[in-house]
Order: sequence, then structure tokens, then C-alpha cells
Amino acid sequence: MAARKVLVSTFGSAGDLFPLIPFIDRLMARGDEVTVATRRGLGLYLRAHGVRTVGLGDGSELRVVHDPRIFSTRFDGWESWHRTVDRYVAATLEADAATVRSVIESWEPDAVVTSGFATAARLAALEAKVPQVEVSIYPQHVRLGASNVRFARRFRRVAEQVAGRELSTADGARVVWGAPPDVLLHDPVLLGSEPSVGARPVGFPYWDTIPGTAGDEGAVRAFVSAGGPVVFVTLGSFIGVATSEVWLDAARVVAALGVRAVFVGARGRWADEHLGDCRDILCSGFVPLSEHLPGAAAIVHHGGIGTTFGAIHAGVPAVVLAQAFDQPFNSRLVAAAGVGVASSRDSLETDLRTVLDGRAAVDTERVRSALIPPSEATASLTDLVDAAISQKRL
Amino acid sequence: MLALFLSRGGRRPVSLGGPLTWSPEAQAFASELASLLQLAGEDRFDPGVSLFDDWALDSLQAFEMIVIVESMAGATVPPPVLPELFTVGDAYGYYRSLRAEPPSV
Repeated sequence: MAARKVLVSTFGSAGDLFPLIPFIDRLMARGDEVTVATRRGLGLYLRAHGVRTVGLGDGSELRVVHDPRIFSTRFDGWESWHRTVDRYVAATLEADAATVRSVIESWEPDAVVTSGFATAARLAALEAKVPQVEVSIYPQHVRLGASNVRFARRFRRVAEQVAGRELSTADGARVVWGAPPDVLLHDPVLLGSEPSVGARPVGFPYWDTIPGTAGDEGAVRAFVSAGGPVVFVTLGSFIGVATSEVWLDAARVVAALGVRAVFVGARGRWADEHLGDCRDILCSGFVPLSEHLPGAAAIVHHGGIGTTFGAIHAGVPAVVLAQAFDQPFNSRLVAAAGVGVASSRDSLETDLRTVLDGRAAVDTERVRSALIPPSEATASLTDLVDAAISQKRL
Repeated sequence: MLALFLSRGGRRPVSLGGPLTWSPEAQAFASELASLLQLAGEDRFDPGVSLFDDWALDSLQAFEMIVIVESMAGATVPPPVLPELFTVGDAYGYYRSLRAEPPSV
């Protein structure tokens, strides 16, 4: 097979990017060229991993982590998405579309693979008539509800201004939400009978093999191996920055329950000042959950899709404190599948106690053993992209 | 979070922009960088000022700093290798190298 050029684009958080990395690795391993157009912050992960990037956004999207209005579970988390699109995607859409257009013109990719809020890349691919494959980690985007159809219509007008022409209803939904996706990166065992799901899920390529700092890795390993049950607490790649009160709630709860805890992602000056005196809490930067989580008694997390799958792969029961975006949806999946409990700040202590006491209806092993292996999910995605290139359309 | 990129291996930085003259432009760059990093009251802008010991950047700010410097330089295609920045002078050298030779796809 001749080497191909694939432009990948995503605009979101690490949860949007990480499941694409095994796919990118697979393409590069077989000799394909890959360039990833993504917001600059996410690009740092890729550059550390040896992947070429093109920066989208003007850096202002970094402020999203300090924007408390983004973190909302209203309307099942859709309010977070609407605000993200309004404030951080639309704001730089014209410039981003021009950037991607220029990459397509000069680099001539054989296919464009998009996910998350890669609106600019979808628009540019549509204009250039390059085969585009839409990958989604959001089953709830497959069939849009009425309010989201209205929102998509409004945002479509923004996209039309950038495109300089009208978009059809179908092209509008595709450009704005990536709906309907060609590939759903999710797992049937977790989705169960979720009624909103229409696309065939091919599995979730969980990936977290970016190394942490040697200091954090060693400290976490030593802390966990010191004995006694350990609870991990994480709020994902950026939610933890803004939701300091959740860290404090978690600190109070683990103290009340008398368990030791690793707070992954609670770092910096704030953590030093507020959690530095907590003897039974270790604050660490990013560490790969696949390496450190197995053997933990439980994990308290925000319900991000990556962490949700990370906990299942580690066989560790989860207590989910949804904060925004897809997290309320994911917390319901976790509870329905029997791999954890959907919790709240008010019920966190009770819920964590129930899980630690073994009284929660949780069977992580049953779900873990039924998961589609990440390598199969990656292979399915690669096959679909190959098919798109061969046929010039799916 | 991404201080790992800056601290990995504990290596000293390589000079990215050649010998630096601490010009008014460099001073203005450092002042603007401190402002964008929201370091209120920071008035140490010399090239030898440590980003971590003197400016006391935490891991998230270190992450932001790379993005800010690349945005200031207008680098749409950032270099594939992550920079190692430890001082204000390193940050300016990196900015200057991006301005002089913007990478392309």
C-alpha cells in the first residue's frame, strides 16, 4: 500500500485527543504521514509523542480552564458544549479554517479525520472535497435533540459566513456537531441499551501512555505500595484546574473515611496551599492510570470518557462526580453497566463508603472482560479511513 | 500538568536563538509574557531570571507559557520538538528563533 497523507483534527480536551493517538501511531508505523491540526495546548501532548502538529486557536482557548461558566451539568451537560462553541470555537473559526485550508492546499492530504469540535477542519475538507471521516466519542451527538438542532442552525450561520456560502442542513449538522459520525469510538458493553445510540460502536482505544514526571511516578508508586486501601481522585486534564471546591470536598471525604488518596492533577500553588498539610493525600501531576490505578480500592472521577474507560480497564470501581460536557451521560452509563456509582458532592461520602465497603452493586470484571480490545477498535477505525480513501467517500 | 515536558531529564536548556542581546525589544517581550501569564507585580525581566524559581511558574503556567510564546511568534506550525525553557532568556531565544525561521508543514 502506498504511503498516505492523513490530516487529523480535533478541538477539545485530552479526552478527545487520546483515543486518536493509537490510530495515529498505527498510521505512522506503516509509513503514512500524519499531521494533526489541533488547539495549541493539545498539540503539546502530540509533540512530546513525536507527531507533527498545526496550531489552531490563538491560545485564548487556554482560558477555558479558568472559565467557571463552562463547567455546567445543566441540560445534561449540553450547556457546556454550547458555551464552548460560542466562546472558543466560533471566536477563531475563520482563522482556523484558513489555516486548515492552507494545509490542505499545500500538503494535499488523502483524507481528513475529524473529531470533537474540529469545525474548521470539517469546513475546509468540505470545501476542498477531500474524503472526510468523522470520528465521535459522543454517542449523544448521533441523534440531536430539538434544542441542539436549533443551536446547530444558529452556529451553522457562523460557519456559512466563514465558508462564504450556504450549507445544506445535512452539511450544517456535520460541520457543527460532526453528526452523524462515521465511527463511534465507544463500547457496546458500556452503552447497553442507551436509546440515543444509532451508530455502530467499534470499541474505545484507551490510551494514556504519555509518561509523567519521574518524581510523580515514583512518589505515587511508593505511596500506593506503603499499604492500606488507596483511593485515586482525578478530574481529568483541565476540569481540575477550575473546580477547586471538588478537590476540597474529596479531601474532606477521604479524611472522614480514613483512607489514603492520590489526587492526580491537583498540582501547583493552589494544591500546595490547600492540600499540602493533608498527610494522607498525595498530590501528583499526570500519571498514567493504566500503570498506577490497578489495585486501588476505588477511583473518584469526573466522568470524562477516557478516565471512565481507564477505570474499567484497571478493574477499579468508580464514583463519578460529573462536572460538565458528556460527564452526566457517562456517569449514567457507569451506573447502568455496574462499574460504579453516579454521585454528587452531597452524596460523595456515602457513595464512596458504599463502594469501599463492597455494598455497591458493582462488577467491573464482567464489564472489563467484555470490552472490545483497544487494538481492535484502532484497527476498525483504520479500516474505515482506508475505505474512505479508496472510495473517496464512505 | 505539562511541567513534565520542561523538567524531563533535568537537562539544562540549549540556547535556541543564539547569543542574546537584552534589547528593549527583549525587555518588552518579557514584560508582555509576564502580563499574559498574569504575573501581577512581576518586575524582573532580565535574561537570567528563572521561570520557576524567580517567576515561580507552576506546571500549568509552564504549559501555558510555551503556547503563549508560540502564539506571540505567530507560529502556526510549531516545531516538532518541544523546547526546554528555564529562564526568561530561554523564552525570548525561543520566540526569536520562531520569528526568524517559522516551521512549515
